[in-house]
Order: sequence, then structure tokens, then C-alpha cells
Amino acid sequence: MSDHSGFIFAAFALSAVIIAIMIGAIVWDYRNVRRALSRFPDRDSPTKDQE
Amino acid sequence: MLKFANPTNFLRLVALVLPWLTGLTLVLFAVGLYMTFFIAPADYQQGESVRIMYLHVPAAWLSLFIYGTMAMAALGTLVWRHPLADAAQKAAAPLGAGFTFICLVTGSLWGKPMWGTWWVWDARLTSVLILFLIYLGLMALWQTIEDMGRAARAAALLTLVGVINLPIIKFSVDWWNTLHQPASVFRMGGPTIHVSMLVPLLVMALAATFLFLTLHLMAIRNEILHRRLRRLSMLAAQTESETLS
Amino acid sequence: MMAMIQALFLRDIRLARRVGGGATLGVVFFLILITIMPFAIGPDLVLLARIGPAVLWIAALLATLLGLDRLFQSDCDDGSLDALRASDLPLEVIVLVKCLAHWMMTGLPLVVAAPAFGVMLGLEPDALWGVTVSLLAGTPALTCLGAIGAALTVSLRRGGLLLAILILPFSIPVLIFGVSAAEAASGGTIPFATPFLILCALSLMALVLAPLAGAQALRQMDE
Repeated sequence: MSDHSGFIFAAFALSAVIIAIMIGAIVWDYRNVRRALSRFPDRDSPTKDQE
Repeated sequence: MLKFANPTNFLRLVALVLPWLTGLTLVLFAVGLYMTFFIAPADYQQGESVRIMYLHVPAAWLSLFIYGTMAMAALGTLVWRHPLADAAQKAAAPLGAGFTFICLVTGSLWGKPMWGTWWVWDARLTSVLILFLIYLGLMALWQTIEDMGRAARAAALLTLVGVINLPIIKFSVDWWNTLHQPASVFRMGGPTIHVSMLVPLLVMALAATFLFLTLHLMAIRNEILHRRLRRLSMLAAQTESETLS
Repeated sequence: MMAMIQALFLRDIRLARRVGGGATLGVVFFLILITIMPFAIGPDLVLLARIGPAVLWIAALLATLLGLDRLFQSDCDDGSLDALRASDLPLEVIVLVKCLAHWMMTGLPLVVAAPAFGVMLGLEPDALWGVTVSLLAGTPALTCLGAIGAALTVSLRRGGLLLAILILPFSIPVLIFGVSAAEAASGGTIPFATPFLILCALSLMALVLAPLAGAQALRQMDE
């Protein structure tokens, strides 16, 4: 790699971080809402058994 | 419960499709990144930095694609009043902001070795920055209006006003740019990109699109579950107050 | 119908002139923005004259947008908006008339005051003329765009900042062509007519778009 490899690495690393933040936020939100929902008696949630 | 039949079906569909989408995204990214680093040649003008383009261009493509998705969902909200459309709109805005931000960051990191500065008030960069601001505005609108349906309709209208305005903004920024900077800025690509560069670019663009689709579906699922949680909490509170009285 | 439109127009103008209407506040805010510029940039008249048109345009943009958040809110609060909607007038016409009245009371004073404030920034007569004419052509677009934001944030207690965040990106074309026209008037590489005519086109488009989108927003927010 040339002398620009630092910039290339930074670009890929930063993009990975931003994507990881987006994925993390969505998964975290999912866990939270699932936990909150599990407090209620299970009636009509078909995705319940998929975890 | 007819009203929630559709979201329930949707949840079932998501559970079915999501593993496949995730797998496809991972495979596409593996292939795309391999091609980016080991197959695509270094550009004769830009050298190795051209590899940043394999992130930058897909992100730029997604920043517009997500806006298009949001505009379709906005139509769904305004015309059919579908709760799924509301959820799709709300889920798309932060993702759009995220990918637009990636586009800006990679553009800046590409510009530093190429142009010698982190930021140039170039027509494209500036237009993308304005798009980013519009995404942020939409997110602010979603956060400020408490009632979900009302927020969805407000965001839908603003999104559609944006559809009319974005070409005008693009046109005026281009005009402003040629006024202030006679075409000295180095332009990437043009109509002829060599196949050895085009194929990795397309694979990466496809990978990014599938990443967005996966994340979007997950975020829509979150919205539906949040809505269900709200409904159940209200029901519980109601029955509790009834048993108390 | 014309009588109703006239009545609504006069009512809005009268309300804006009363205490708390805030018609004069816009001009005062405009003056203050112009006044603080030299403190940030320095009192160098040559520099100020060069960036003067841009400063005047930015100030006009902010003064217009920040004064708009009450456009529909006060009517919504006291129920007169419901009364208006119950009338025979289409909501689109109501929005348009309210925009025009608002522009008469805030946009037009800015245009009238612009030459005086331009002199303070050391503008030449050519530039003064250019800024004034471009503001005259461009401020209706700003008011109309802002009206869309005002309709969207009508149900919010503190919608002012949100309105600015939502609408400022959309007002960038108006700013670009407004400043270009103002600078072209005092000599430049492009003829004055090019940006000025585009600015007029933007204003006309905003005059069409704002009543449609604003009325739709008011309907949607009401449910």
C-alpha cells in the first residue's frame, strides 16, 4: 500500500464503527422491547418462540 | 384485532427472511471487500486511495435510495394510513442519516490526500451535506412530536416536500459551485469506468443495499414491537384501575 | 368569497400591528443581526461592503423564519383556525392569504429597511439596489417555505427552533440565487437577470407549494 494507506484504513474503520453503532442501537432496542414485552402474558405474538 | 393482523404477518415474514438477508449481506460484503482490496487495481491518478470510493459511492447511492424508500413509505402513510408505512418511515430516517454520514466522512478522508484539505465546498459534497441536514431535521421532527401517527404524517409531508425540493437544491448548489469554483475540482469516474473497477463497485453497492434492507427490517420490527408494548401497557393499566375501583 | 379573503387579510394585518403581534419585532431583529456583524467581522468597511449583500440576506432569512412559528399557532390556540376551516374558504386559500398578510407585515418591512441597513454596511448604490430588489423577489419564498414548517409544528409548544432546523435546508436555493442576484447587480461575471429570474421562479413555486403543503399539514395535524 502507498502512503495513503492511513486514510484508506481510517475510512474503512470509521465506516465500520458507524455501521456497528447502527446495528448495535437496533439490536439493543430490540432486546429492550422484547424484555419489556415478556412481562405481559403471551397472547398473540407468533415471533415469541423464535428466539 | 384485524388492525394488527398485518403487522403480525409482517413480524412472521421478518422472522422468516431475516436470516437469509443477513447471510446474503455478509457474503456480499466478504466478496465485495475482497475484490476492493485484492482484485480492483489502483487508479493511475488516485493511486490506492481509489479504494475509499468503494465505500463512498455505495454510501452516496444509499443516501438517495433511503430517501426514496422513505418517500414511498410517506405516500403509504398519507394515502393508505398504514401503520407499517409509519414504522418504515421512522426506521429509515436514522439509517439514512448514518449512511449519509459515512458518505461525508469517506469523502473527506478521500479528499485529504487528493485535494489536500479535509473539506471542499464542492457541489457534490455540499449537496450531500444538505441531505444530511434534512435527515437530521426529520429525526428531530420524529423525536419532538409525541403522538406516533401525527409525527408520521408530519414527517411524510416534509419528506414529500423534500422530494420536490431536492432536485432544486442540487441544481442551485451546482450553479453556485460553478459560479465560485471554475471546474478545477478533480472529478472521479465519468461515464467510462473500467470493468475491473465497476464490478467491485457494483458488488459493494449491492452489499450496502442489502445491509440497509436488513437493518431497515430489523428497525421496523422494533417499531412494531414498541407499538405493541404501548398498547399492552395501556391495557394493563386500564384493567388495573378497573379492578381497583 | 373575495370579501371573506379581504376580511381575513385585514384581520391578520390588524393582529400583527397590535401589541404582541410582532410585526415590528422582525425589523428590530434584522437591525440587531446587522449590528452584531461588525463586532464579529471587524469594522472594516471595505470588507463589510464586500460581504454586505450576503450579510443582509442571512439576516433577512433568520428574521423571516424565526418570526414564523406563530403563524398558525395563535389561531390554533384560540380556536379561530377551526372557525376559518368551517367557513366556505378552501384551506389552501386561507394559508395563502395568511402567508401574504404575514409577508406584508414582516417581509416587506425588511425590504424597505434593507437600503438603510445596507448603507451602514458601506454598500454602493448599485449593490443597495440589487439587495433590495432581490429581497423583494426572494422574501415571499422564505415566508411561504416557513409557512409549511409553521403548519407542521403547529401542535408543538416550542416549535421555533425545530421550524428553523426543518426549513433552513430547503431555503438554501433562495439564499444562493438571492445573494447571487444581489452581487451581480454591483458588477460581476454574470448578468443580473439570470439569478434574479430564477429567484422569481423559486418564489412563484413556493407560492404554489406552500398553500398546498401547508393546508395538507394543517389537516393532517388536526386528526
